[in-house]
Amino acid sequence: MDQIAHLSSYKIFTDPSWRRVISQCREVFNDLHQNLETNSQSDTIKTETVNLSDQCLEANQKYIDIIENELRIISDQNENQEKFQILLQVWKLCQIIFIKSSPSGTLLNDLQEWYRTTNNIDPMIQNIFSSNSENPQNLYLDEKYWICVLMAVVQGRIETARHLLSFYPIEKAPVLKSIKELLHTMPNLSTHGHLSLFEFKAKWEYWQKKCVQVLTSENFQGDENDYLQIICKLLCADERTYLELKPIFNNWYYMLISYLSYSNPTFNISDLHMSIESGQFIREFEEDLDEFDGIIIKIFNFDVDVVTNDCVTLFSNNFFSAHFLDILFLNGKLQLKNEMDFTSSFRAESSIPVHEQHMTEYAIQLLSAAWSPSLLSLHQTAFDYLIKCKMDQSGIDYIEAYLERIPLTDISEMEASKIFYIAFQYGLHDLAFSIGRVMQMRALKSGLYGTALSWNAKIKDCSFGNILAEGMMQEFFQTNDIKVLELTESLSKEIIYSERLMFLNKYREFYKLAFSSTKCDRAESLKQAASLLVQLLEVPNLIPFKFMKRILFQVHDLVDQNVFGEDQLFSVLKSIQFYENRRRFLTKNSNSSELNECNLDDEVAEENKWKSLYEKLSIKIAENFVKNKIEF
Amino acid sequence: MFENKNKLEKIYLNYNASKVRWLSDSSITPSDFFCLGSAENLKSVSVWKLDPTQDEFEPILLSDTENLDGFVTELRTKSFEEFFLSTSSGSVYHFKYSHADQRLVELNKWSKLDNLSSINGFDCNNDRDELCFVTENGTINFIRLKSQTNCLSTLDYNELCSLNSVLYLKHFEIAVSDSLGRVKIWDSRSRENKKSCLSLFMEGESSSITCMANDPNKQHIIACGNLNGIIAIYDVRSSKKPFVLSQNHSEPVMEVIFHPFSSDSLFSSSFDGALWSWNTSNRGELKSGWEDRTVNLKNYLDSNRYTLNSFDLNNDKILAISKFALKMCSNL
Repeated sequence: MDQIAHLSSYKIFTDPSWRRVISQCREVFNDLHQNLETNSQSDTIKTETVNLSDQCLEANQKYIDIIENELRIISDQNENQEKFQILLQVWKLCQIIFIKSSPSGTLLNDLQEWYRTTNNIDPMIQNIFSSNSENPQNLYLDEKYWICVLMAVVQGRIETARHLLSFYPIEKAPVLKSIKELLHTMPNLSTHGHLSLFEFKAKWEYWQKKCVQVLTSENFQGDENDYLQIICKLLCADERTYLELKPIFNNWYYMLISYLSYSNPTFNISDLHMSIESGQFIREFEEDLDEFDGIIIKIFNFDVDVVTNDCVTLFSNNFFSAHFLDILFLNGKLQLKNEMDFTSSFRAESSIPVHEQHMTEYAIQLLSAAWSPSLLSLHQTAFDYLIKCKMDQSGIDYIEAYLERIPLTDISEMEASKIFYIAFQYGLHDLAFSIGRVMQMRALKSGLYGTALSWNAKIKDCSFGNILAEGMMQEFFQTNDIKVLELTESLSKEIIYSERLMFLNKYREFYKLAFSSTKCDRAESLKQAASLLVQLLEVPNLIPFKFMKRILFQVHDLVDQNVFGEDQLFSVLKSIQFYENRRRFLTKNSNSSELNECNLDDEVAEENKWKSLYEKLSIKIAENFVKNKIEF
Repeated sequence: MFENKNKLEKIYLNYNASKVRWLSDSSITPSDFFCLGSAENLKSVSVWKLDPTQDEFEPILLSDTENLDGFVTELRTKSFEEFFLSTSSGSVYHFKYSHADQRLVELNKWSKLDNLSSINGFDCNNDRDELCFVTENGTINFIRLKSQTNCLSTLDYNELCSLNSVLYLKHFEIAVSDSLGRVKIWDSRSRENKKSCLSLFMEGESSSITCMANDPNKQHIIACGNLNGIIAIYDVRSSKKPFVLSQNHSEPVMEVIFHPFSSDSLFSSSFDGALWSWNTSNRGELKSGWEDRTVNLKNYLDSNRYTLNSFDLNNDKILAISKFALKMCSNL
């Protein structure tokens, strides 16, 4: 696994915290699809049925919650910490831009929220408070104080900014009062939600005019480091100030968001697009741009390709793209490629919807990570995703191909049963049959007749059943141990597919009746045994040829007991004749294999036995004959 | 007949656990500790504690050990501190959790038993001086726990069939189930048994019995669940036909446990993720056989796609594990 560099990136899926995330996401995925299926299948459209886009949004939020939860649980030194954080950042942004946004809707609140959570300043603020807890009047002298205030302002956290500013002694800068006044009266999109956009815009412009007034008229002399002036300029949406504050922002997208939130708070997706086009902030950070920034640009441009291509390369797996594209598809926002595209030479590929491609890729990556047969639960997770690729039948084919290749040599019975059951559940009956065949052969090779029999009864394999029965009979005759026969005692009705097994079962009954019954009902059971034996002899070809001789010799042991009736004796004679004929036929055609199998060790003893059998039979028949004659 | 589920809480683990057991002296004494044996990716066993004062279900991992040689196939508690477990590579371990320093200590280990074949199940007898385990190769073996030498002995009889679980009925009697759907009663005092005392099976139902449980109050009643989802209750004193409960599980039954307080009801979990409580009530008579009873069902966990690997009862709480998730229901 480690040697194949291409696959080693999927090893991440076996990491414990990823396993937790994967299994939880799988549950959300399954629940979502199940809910949608039940909703679509129900005959009446209930009013309580939550509508589709809400469900998709909910599911996406659940995915995000899962990752956030995981970040909380794992320790800071965990190598996955960074990966999860990037994943979370991208996912949240995609949710805002692709799912939540509408062409005319405002993005301010969501993007500001995104900014706040992914660039959290709370730890810094708490630090300030805790290090200055004894003497709060010196709080404003802390080196990080102004940075916190500025960051609170750019992130739109006005309450926090005001709280921090309350620690600044007002004597030092009288202009502080007006600044605070401005902050207090700043129109907030959430509280003024009842206003229409136009009205809000008017309010905002009025407020910003006041900010400009404060900036130009007021006296900023008392302010040592111009911080208050900077704050005022930020409120007036002065572009230069934003550009100058580059160290605070760290990234161009944060700068862009805060600039837009003050210059045009009702910005929507097209405004965002235009700002990116103009490239005003991107230029500042030009030397630091990397792949991640490229992705953010594409997301802001509402370019869905970013999910399908760039994110896959960024995360080096399809975990995010599979889930997200599925949500987009269900939401109806993903357009299927045009199927009537005859000009395209890759027609086969383009007819598979892109979200299914990614789901299949993700499932295959999971399976590559789970290369050991004991990681069945990861397999089942992957299978869940493959099953949902309905448009293209390859989902089931992949499952079948994978299950076929799981090695069955070293795993335990229970695991093999589980794999068998999974194949059965997915309707892959041929595969289940072949699994059963391998397992029964494996059991037979280690001499476990019972296990082989249980697998055989499960898959009802006739030819192997016959071989198995013959093997068991051989074993029984060699060891004379009844436990071999007893293996069939619970199987009476189930083995009708194999006549040898049925014979074995009946033979067991006979043996029990003849040799293991208690003394009191011995006579009765012997009679039953005898009639059973004759029935077995009568059915043509039921008894395998090599055992006929032994069976007939068992007749020999019973003849003395006076248990055979007249007709039964004649049947016995007939079967002896048949046996003789067949033996002559075989010797003539020198079919040595079958002959050799039925040779007993001692030739002379055998001859004697035949002789005495004929003798006894003839005596009995004669006796019966005479009896009847006399009665007549 | 079907009542609503009770309060259900769950957390997610980062591995797939195969067995969960409460650590307590018996299933009636309430306890806050439980242990989990893993399957698949991690080969470990861990001990957890539930905080009874908290409202949320947030068990705390106290200690775990990661160097087992295979995944856990069976786990049984001896007391509130000690437990035994068997693994798929043919070993039996004896662990003790010391509350003082919160560590799991491996007291004893018997390994490489029976050619490394998977040990499917084991049980200890009441005095805890003997442990009997059964393997995939069809052998029944005994370990004498207190002696240092010559502790392992095997029954002469090899079943030629994969044996799935074993239970001690009385002090010297064991019930062994196999993958042909039979339950055999053996006398464990002698090692040269040629034949079992009794052999029980259902006519026409020969799928492998996966789990067994014995009634805490009456030693002669055992319940077995098999791969077809059928639960049969046998009375081992006679070889009459068993009482069959076969309604709700269409998939293999993973675990069967009797209710700790009333032996008239039992719980079962299966591959389809459902956990059912079967309540068989007497119809007014004090002592009626199992055949006369009506069965009421109560569902604790709905069927879903995730196999319920194992569960355990303690006092009024049930802990169940399915793929990566640990769930608890309370107020039985």
